[in-house]
Amino acid sequence: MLVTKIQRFSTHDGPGIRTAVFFKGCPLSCFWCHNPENKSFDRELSFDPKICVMCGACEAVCPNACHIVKNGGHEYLRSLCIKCGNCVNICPAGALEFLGKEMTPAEILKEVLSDKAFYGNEGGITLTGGEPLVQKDVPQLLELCDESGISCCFETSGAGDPDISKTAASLCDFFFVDIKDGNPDRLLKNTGADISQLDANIRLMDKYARNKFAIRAILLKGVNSDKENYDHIGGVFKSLKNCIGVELLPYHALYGNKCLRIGLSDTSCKDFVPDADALKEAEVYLKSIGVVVI
Amino acid sequence: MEKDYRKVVFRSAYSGGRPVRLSDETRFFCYESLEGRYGDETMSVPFVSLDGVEGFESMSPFQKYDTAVRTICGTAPVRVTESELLCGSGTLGGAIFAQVPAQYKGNCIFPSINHLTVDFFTPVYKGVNYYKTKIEKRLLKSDLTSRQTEYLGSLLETIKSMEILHGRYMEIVKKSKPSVYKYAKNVPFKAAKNFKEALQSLWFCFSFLRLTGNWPGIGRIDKILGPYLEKDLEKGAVTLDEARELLASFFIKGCEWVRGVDAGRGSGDAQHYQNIVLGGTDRDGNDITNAVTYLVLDVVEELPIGDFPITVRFNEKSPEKLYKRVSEVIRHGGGTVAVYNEKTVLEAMTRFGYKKEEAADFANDGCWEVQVPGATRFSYCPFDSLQILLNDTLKLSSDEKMSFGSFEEIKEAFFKNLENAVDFIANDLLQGMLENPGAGRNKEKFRELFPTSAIDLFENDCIKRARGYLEGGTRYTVIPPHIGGGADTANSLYAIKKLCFEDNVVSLERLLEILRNNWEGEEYLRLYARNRYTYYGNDNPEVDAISAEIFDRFSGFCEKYGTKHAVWIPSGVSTFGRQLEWKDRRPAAPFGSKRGDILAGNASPTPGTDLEGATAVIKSYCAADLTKQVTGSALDIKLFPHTVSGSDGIDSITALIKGFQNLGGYFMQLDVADVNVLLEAQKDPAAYKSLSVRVSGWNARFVSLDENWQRMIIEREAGGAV
Repeated sequence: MLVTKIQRFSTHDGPGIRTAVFFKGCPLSCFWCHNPENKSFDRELSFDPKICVMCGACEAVCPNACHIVKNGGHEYLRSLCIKCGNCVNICPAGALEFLGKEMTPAEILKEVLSDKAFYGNEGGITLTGGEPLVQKDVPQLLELCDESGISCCFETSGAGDPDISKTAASLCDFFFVDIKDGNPDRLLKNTGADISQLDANIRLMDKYARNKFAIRAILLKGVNSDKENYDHIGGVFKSLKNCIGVELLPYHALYGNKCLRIGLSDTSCKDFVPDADALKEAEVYLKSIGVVVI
Repeated sequence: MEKDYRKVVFRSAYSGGRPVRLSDETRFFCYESLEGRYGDETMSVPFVSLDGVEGFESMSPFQKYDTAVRTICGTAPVRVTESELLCGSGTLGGAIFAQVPAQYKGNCIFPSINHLTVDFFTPVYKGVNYYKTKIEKRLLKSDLTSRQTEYLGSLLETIKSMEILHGRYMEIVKKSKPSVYKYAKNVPFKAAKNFKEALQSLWFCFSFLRLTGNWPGIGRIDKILGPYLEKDLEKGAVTLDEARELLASFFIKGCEWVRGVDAGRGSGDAQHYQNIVLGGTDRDGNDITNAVTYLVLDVVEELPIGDFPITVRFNEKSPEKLYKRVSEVIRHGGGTVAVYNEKTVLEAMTRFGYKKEEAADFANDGCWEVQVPGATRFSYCPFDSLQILLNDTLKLSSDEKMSFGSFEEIKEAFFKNLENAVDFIANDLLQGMLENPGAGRNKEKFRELFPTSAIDLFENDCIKRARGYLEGGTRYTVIPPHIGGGADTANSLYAIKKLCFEDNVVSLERLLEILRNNWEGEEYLRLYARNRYTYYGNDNPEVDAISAEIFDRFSGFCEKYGTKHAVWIPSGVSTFGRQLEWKDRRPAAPFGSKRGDILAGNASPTPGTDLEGATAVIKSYCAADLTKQVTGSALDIKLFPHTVSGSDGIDSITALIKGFQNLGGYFMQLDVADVNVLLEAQKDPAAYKSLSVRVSGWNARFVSLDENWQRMIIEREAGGAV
């Protein structure tokens, strides 16, 4: 499995202290993706010019002349890069790094066990990404964790593989599922997702849930901040038996640099950021139609 | 003057703010106290003068001391504030600077005694008059030298001075505060009969010691007062709300040395070692957490009082509610409440040689170095292990070229130098304090110093031994060497191992030359050393094994002395901010630091080298066997308010504390940083790499966020642009 990052001491990704494992790759293509480094299923090279000290070491070891360091600037020609890693290995500042490390479930478990002393009865592992529920080894990882007494949790876009989603729901003590939009056409256009498939997946996870879960809804002003979306969230919520409520998260426009570091264009846009009133309005409406907002 | 209660706003790092339980009156009292009103007032009369005392110069030291204490008690200003519910005050400014505030011809004559917790159980439960009887009985025995007879007389004089002071206060409060007079008139001389008397007795003894220039810790306040309160609550003699107001008065009065803005700045050493220890087990192994424990937490949750550093003793029997309340207080920031893992502390103390029942009573000296209250003369000798490695072993401050054949050879050479340093400290101590060091623990005699009778009264064996605090009168005299810079030294050795012996990036000879030149012209290599290796604080077993070995070997060198002499010499780990004082004496270090960099504090990681967050820091720290660091090993953990916001934030603090216990930690201070710290972190991200923040539905390390994110979080914290 390709892992972008393993973050220890995560305190808000499920109950207790957790170790969040970020998997690389997502089947959706939301234009507002806050974690663009986890969109692609391939290993990528990240270059952060802000950390670069212009030492030129990368230029000297690059077989394809991808790095041009001169006149106080550093240009990285991504199209020529063959991802040999020479530059990453020599960069003294950490400005160049690979995103995505191939790891087996056992290797991930070993890292997660590092913090076992802190998990107690509540904490444990949280699978996130990217979309963790398309990784074929996820069930094996969850079983390994379960056998080791590690509580499991995941965050999914809802677009996971149905079989993996079902197994994950049955092995985890808690999880979060996104609802991105209730308008099927907008959803398809903005994220590439098929609404009926997402709905079916939520119901499937609800049916097989070992314990409880929450819905997370991201709010983008003028994109999905309308009653059609809220009514859809309400309808789905009310049809579920194990969902504790809906957490509303405002869109933010702060992921631009993350895009640039992996050669994507910056798609962040402040116009979509909902103000406090818009959030409140959504909350009030959702509550009025019987949704628990958490 | 009309009190403007609206002015009373107490800052918190927690977005939910601090709870309000106390009366407006008490809160205003606190506000004024923290603004420096009483501290400034205290400074207006710094000393009493002994110039008019006839024949002063020809007096014996004890006579001089007794005269000073009597003059202080008889003539120091008496302060009874409108809002206070307890009486007694440390009203002489000279005491704020660690001296007995009495001058003769413009000079202070006696220094302060500090770094100790005295025995406050005896005066509260038996009354100070108990001491009088005990001294009088002791005087009847025929084994006393004339100096000892004079010494015991000085203790009696001290009690008389206390009576003078008490009389002056009673004269005032009898008229102005009859309700206070009722519970203040008999104590501390007679045994306290109820909670109010017990609290007043404790406060009066404490404030008497402070007035006479001493800085004792309070110790286990809940163990002292809890039984009184629980009995009174049961009888209906006092309500919880009343008791909280009274305790708040104690805490607010304890800030009477907090001065206003003109006080000048220094090391930030605002506290006067007035430490409090909460919770923990008793001699029978039962957890003593009680109503007073929770009331103290209520008070410091509401009032941002940092002057009483509190440490909570957690053990396997600590109630869940205690974890929750401590976590709730910690999230307000300021680092007021720290934690001990009692299991490690007790094991360390008993293994070293303390009796099990005495170890069970442990409190601390003013920071966190554990001691048996009322039975320990304590001090410590700090030294810098990094300078030993860089200057003694690698000779970076001289032209002498060193060559080593292997990493092991360097390490062993360093340990030899470390052992020499410990030997030097220990022998210096023994020679300085004892007349006949080496004569054997029971035959060694302490040198005579100066009188300390006010403190001695509250130290258990001084009367029996008829000797002073500094002269072997206490049951234990304990002076540990404290190793500093442990993380920096481990990182330095690890960097040498990697750079010169494993990865062969640079030869040792060349590296030493580069370090002598403070990395001049070698920025690539410096960054390489700094960024390519994973140092102490990241749960990297390879480097943690080196730090553990340093701490273990150090404690082994101290064990050579251990309890063999009349002065006990255990080991401990601390810097207490000396990383500032040491910075210019430390040459550039192999892990990428330059001369003048501020490096690791206590047993914490070198700033900027810990990248994996609080749990990994705790794991690195716990890799060493901390039961070998008898007086303690302190870990400082910084957290961002976002990390610990909400109910899952409270659970996270609790989980950190429990993990710390599981892994065998000793002492940990959790500080939740505020906006100013965030701004610092922005300016100097390298020093704040492990700080986590709550971002929105998740959290991340602050420095891993780009400028936009950082600004957003800062502005959210400050409630606007900064």
